[in-house]
Amino acid sequence: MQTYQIATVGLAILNLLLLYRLWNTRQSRNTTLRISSAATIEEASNLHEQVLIATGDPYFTWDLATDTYEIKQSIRDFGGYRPEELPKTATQFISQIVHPNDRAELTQTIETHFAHETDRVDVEFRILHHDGHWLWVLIRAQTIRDESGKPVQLVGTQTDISRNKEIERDLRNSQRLAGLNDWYLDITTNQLTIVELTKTTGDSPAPQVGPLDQVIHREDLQKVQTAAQHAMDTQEPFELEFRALLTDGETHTFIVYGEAEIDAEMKPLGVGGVFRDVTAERHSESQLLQFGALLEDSVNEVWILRLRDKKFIFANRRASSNSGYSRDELMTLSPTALTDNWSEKLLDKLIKTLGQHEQQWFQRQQQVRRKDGSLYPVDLWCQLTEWNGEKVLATLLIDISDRVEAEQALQRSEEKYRHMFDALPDGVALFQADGTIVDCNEMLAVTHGWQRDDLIGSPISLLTDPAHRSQQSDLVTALAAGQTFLSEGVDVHRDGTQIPFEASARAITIADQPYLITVLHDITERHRYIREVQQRKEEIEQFTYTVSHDLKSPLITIKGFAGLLEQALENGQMESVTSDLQRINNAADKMHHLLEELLEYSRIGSVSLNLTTTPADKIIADALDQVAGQVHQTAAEISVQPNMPPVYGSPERLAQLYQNLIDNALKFAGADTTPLIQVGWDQEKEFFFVEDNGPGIAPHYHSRIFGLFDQIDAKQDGSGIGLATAKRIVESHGGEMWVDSSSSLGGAKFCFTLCDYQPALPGLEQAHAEHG
Amino acid sequence: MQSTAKNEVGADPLILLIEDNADHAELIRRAIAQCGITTKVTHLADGEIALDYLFGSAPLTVMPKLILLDINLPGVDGWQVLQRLKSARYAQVPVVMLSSSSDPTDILLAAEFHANSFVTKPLQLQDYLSFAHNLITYWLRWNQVTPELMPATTTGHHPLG
Repeated sequence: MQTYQIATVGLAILNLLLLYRLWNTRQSRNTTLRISSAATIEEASNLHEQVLIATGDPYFTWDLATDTYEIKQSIRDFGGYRPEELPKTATQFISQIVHPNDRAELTQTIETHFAHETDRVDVEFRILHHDGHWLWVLIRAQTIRDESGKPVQLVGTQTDISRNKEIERDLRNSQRLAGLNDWYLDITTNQLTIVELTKTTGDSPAPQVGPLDQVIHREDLQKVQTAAQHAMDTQEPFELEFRALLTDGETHTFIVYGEAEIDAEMKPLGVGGVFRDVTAERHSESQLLQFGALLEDSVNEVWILRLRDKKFIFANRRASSNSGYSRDELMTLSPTALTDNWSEKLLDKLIKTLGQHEQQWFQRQQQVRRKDGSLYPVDLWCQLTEWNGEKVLATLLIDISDRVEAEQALQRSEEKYRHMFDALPDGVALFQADGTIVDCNEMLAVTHGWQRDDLIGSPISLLTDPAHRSQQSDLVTALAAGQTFLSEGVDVHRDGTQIPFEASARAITIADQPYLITVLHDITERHRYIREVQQRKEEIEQFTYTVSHDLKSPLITIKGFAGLLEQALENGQMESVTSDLQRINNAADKMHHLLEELLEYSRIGSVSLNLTTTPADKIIADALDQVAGQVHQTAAEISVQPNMPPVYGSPERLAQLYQNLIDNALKFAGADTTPLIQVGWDQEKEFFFVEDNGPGIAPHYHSRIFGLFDQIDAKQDGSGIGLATAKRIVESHGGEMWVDSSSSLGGAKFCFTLCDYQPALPGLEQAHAEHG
Repeated sequence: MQSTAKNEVGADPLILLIEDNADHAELIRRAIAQCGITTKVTHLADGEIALDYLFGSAPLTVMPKLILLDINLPGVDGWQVLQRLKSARYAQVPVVMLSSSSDPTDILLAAEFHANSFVTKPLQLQDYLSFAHNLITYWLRWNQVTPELMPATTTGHHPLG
């Protein structure tokens, strides 16, 4: 490198020296020699020659008129040729000795010089050395012209600069060491050799060799091949970027500088040069581009606020489209205009806070006002940072309208389902496998006498009748095994009342947690109906029995005595005819009476009645009117308790109920003393009663007295339907009837309850209470 | 032994008729009377009276030869009376149950309580007469029939026990 510099400086000095001499001689600043006469030309030639010899380089003269040239060799060897081995003319020299790639440039340079466009010829080219290698030479020459300015002779030095070129290659190597790598494409084998000097820490980097079409990225292959071909065709250096797959398995991006290399026969050997690995740069560039695009195309709003003047200096597309402002408008917009609750002061405070903790994000939910005045909710994030060398507040707005709407929809939906849940006519409980109630509806709580809050967190066994707990553990086991459960069971009310229920239950999963859900359908009513149906069935059986026995009884009498009458008529024995006819008449009357009463009995409950709430006193007064005759006959004393509660039901039927009970009492009361009858209401136990001072009814008859035609006392008149009818009226009103012997008057005490059917649930509870 | 003494040969046989319906009692009494045999028919109007007559403090003067018992009695019903009869000293006295209907349950119950026969009260006078005839010719002689010679069935009625 030092040698090269000295040589270059040396040449420059020589040139300056030569030019100075010429200038002194001709007193002309024009470096072109103009010779006015042959003698002057001669003189000039000699001068030239002396100067050139002084440089120690070979010099040449080229007589343009004859195209002959002469190379004056000095002490230095030049090209290894003896004079007789060289071509005769300069043209032949160029076409034979000069490197084919350099001929055009050489010719062009000389012609340009002849045309006065340059002061001198200064050109590097390769010549073929006698031993076959290429030799770099530098020609510096000037033209000697005649008076008319026509070039006559070209005279110049011819310097071997191969050494310089070596130095140049050394220089390139050192450049390579400074960050460049070496590559070479051998076109005969199509092998690409890459030596990554920059990647190597050792002395001898391992070259990577591979077929071109496998190393070069498919998309870049054509480009590389074209460039290499062009370089070989033109001998021009080129610069190119391509991607290559290296042995590390990564695709690298290279910028290569290359030129063709040819052998002595001008045959291209390949292309080679240096390259720089720009993979990392390209990667970060593309990332940078991508980030920019991300920012611009983000579905979230990106706002950059310059702190200096509190103006937006960037807002992405989404920010513009969501807020309704154009980007130009946004650039002049005050940030406080975008919200209702942000003042300059607040903004300053925020910036100050963030400034004190530089890494900290600020985040809050915020309503943003659009240009059209409407508001939309966002999650706001901001951070202080730098943007093109200025302090800015980078703000990210995430539109959460959808989320807020979804949350509201969810809330509405939840509310809706909660209402439905609570409005269900059945109790629903959600509980864990260990029985802990997680949630339940109002109905479950109400039917079991609890508050909903009492039940949540309590064990479900709280609701189960102790006798049925094992059944419940079966249920839990079955549910855990994935079965759907449908069963009947018995729960217990807070007050201890049993609640028969039908339950369907199954296992469900909520947010990966297993739960059991059970729907309890209270079947108290159903049980009541079943009981009622059973009762009706018994009544029907009794009715059938009654018809077959009691109605047949008068028939037997009638038919029998009719036969006897017939016999009497045949025999003419008429003494008992009158009494027998009387028996037939009585039996027919009895049968008529029975039929009437049966008809009346069967009507109860089968006709839809006018149900109202009526004072009990009024009902009793109506009943007393009906039995006024008998009361008068028996001289009975009937007392009615004042302030009795109103009763709900059919006034006519309830009056009939009282009528039958009083009628019954009149038959038995006071056989030996004044009949006493008390009509009243037990306030404590809430039942109505009619009692008398008759003989009473022995406990073992209590179950029989309400049967159709069951008469305990054969001496008494009556069909026996009265008490059965009374009981049926009570039951058709949802109540119960019984008889006990605790009468304060000493006789029978007929008691009954009536049910207030109006509000469904309290009715149920009242029924429970009455049972208890 | 007291009762055996009362039941001497040659005396009119005693038939007990336990029946609450006076008309029905009269029909049966007259039907028996038409059979041309002298019997003593004692009518008891209900179950309580019957039990008092049979098991009461007043001693029975004559052992009944046959008991006709209505099922459907007020108060103490026919079944209760039947059970008392068959569980005590009258076990050997044939009992014929009377009923207005031929309810299968009643027939089975009669068999269970060891009634000797079950008769549905007939509607035709002629049937009453056959019934009465049957009582006289068969059931009044019940005690004289050796067990080996006892007929499997008797005409027109339901022999039980």
